[in-house]
Amino acid sequence: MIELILIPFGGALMALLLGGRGKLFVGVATALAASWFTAKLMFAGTAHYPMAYPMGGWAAPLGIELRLDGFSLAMLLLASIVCLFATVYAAAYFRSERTDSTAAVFFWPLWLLQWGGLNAVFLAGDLFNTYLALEFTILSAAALIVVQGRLDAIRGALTYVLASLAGSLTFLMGVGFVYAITGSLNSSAAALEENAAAQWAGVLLLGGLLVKSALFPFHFWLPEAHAKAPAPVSAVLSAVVVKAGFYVALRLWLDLFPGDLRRNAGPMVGTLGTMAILLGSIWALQQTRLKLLVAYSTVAQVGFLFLFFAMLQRPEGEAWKGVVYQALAHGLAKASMFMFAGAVQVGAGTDQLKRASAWNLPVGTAAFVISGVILAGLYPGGGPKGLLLKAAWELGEWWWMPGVILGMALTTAYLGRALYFLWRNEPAQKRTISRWMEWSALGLAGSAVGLAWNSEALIEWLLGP
Amino acid sequence: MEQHLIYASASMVLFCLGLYGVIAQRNLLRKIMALNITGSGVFLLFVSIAQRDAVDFADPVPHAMVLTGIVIALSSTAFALALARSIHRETGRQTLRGEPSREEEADSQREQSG
Repeated sequence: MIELILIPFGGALMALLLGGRGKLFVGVATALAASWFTAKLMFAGTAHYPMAYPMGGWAAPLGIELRLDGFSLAMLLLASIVCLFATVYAAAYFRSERTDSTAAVFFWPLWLLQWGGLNAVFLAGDLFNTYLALEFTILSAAALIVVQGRLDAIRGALTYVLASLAGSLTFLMGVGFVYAITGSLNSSAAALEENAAAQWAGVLLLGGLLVKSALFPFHFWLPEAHAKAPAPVSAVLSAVVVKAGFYVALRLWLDLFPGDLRRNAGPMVGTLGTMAILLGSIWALQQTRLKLLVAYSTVAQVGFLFLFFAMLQRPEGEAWKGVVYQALAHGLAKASMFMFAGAVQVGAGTDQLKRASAWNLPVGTAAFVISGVILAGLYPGGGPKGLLLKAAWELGEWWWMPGVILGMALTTAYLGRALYFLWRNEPAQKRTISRWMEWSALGLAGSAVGLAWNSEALIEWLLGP
Repeated sequence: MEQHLIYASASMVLFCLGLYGVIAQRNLLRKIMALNITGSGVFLLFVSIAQRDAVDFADPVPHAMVLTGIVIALSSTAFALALARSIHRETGRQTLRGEPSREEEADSQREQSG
């Protein structure tokens, strides 16, 4: 379990020290090794979960404990699949960079640091380590956004850093409250009792995490940061980094928060989620650039994730399966879309919908269409959106349903609009695009199809019946 | 009032002041400083928690967390400052967006009148 953190961090150090082709080699080798160990965890089975790993043999109250269960394994697998394909994509994307440019020197170390940070978030067993892992992830992610040194990317990254740090400190304040109340940092030891101090602790923790996971109205930093980043970075940011905040929020929501806070905050978070779905989709419909369109789509999809919170009181039932499914499906599909958008940008020299064309990217276009179908839930059962509708119906909370259905329709509309432009425009110039970029986008879209195909069995295997 | 309660209340005031500053200030340097004030508020809370149940000595866990937190705050401040500097180098502005900040306006007015 510890390998998942040590290998990326060790690889990051190696990549920083080596030069030239060595960086690429270390990057790819570390990616393969980290994925190998994630696969090993997966094949070890989920029967003995939840599992604790005391670091250095020091037991929990004194030492630092890592924790693994079905939900964390699901997120580790998502991080691993997305980062592995994105590593292949990045190797092709940065091939044309000069070897002494900032991007060539710093991309691989930061890339591996970010991956290690993400794994640490998903494995952290106590609140303070969660905070540290989140900080690691943010700082390396923001540095990755500016790795090519363009001004609009710097603006996006600084907005992201300022918003995220404010969120982190709010979260840390909440951690202080929890420690003051319980005298422990273990996030799953026992739920807080229902009293005013516990309510405030929960509000601070949740508030900080909502800023990090960009739920409306805290989405303001996301579109620019995600759209201006280099394409492989955008893919991981939208697919996994946003989910880190969401993962911690859901963990605390179910394990730590007092029941009355869940009941009171549930409808509020659900309303914000619905607004994020509707406004995010409408904003996506208005965009004139492909990458911004895909970024606003993330704002909307995060809304779907948090709409589930309104129906989640316990880790069970349709809503619990649906929220994990939505996190995985959105991660795979969105990473594939950002990879396609990056290939369009490289191929056409621009991602403006008026001029960009996808005629020279048949494989990438196929990936975009498949991911679009997954994202909009346009297949039998409706995927996570279907489960969301089912959960709302079973609870008798029908008022969540129009927002979901409208959201699905709007998703179809903005993706269809993007495709219409990309098909209509003739390619202005022929620039060769590495086939690796297109095929890694298709690989992720294929993984999303695999997930949708076996969703029931897979999610039952991860989370238990 | 007990001593640790005074610290805890002060930490809340600092925290809220800092968050207000991050949102309300337009100058990037002020925003970053406001974040540091927020951080000080959080750290002060941890210190006051440590003192709360003290019999012979204070609880060491919050102290360890404050130390780690300070390291994180230092590195993220350094990174944010580096980004702010490159914005200033590229645009000559101390704000995120196009419009000049109040101080810069005052500066340019002073230059015009002088």
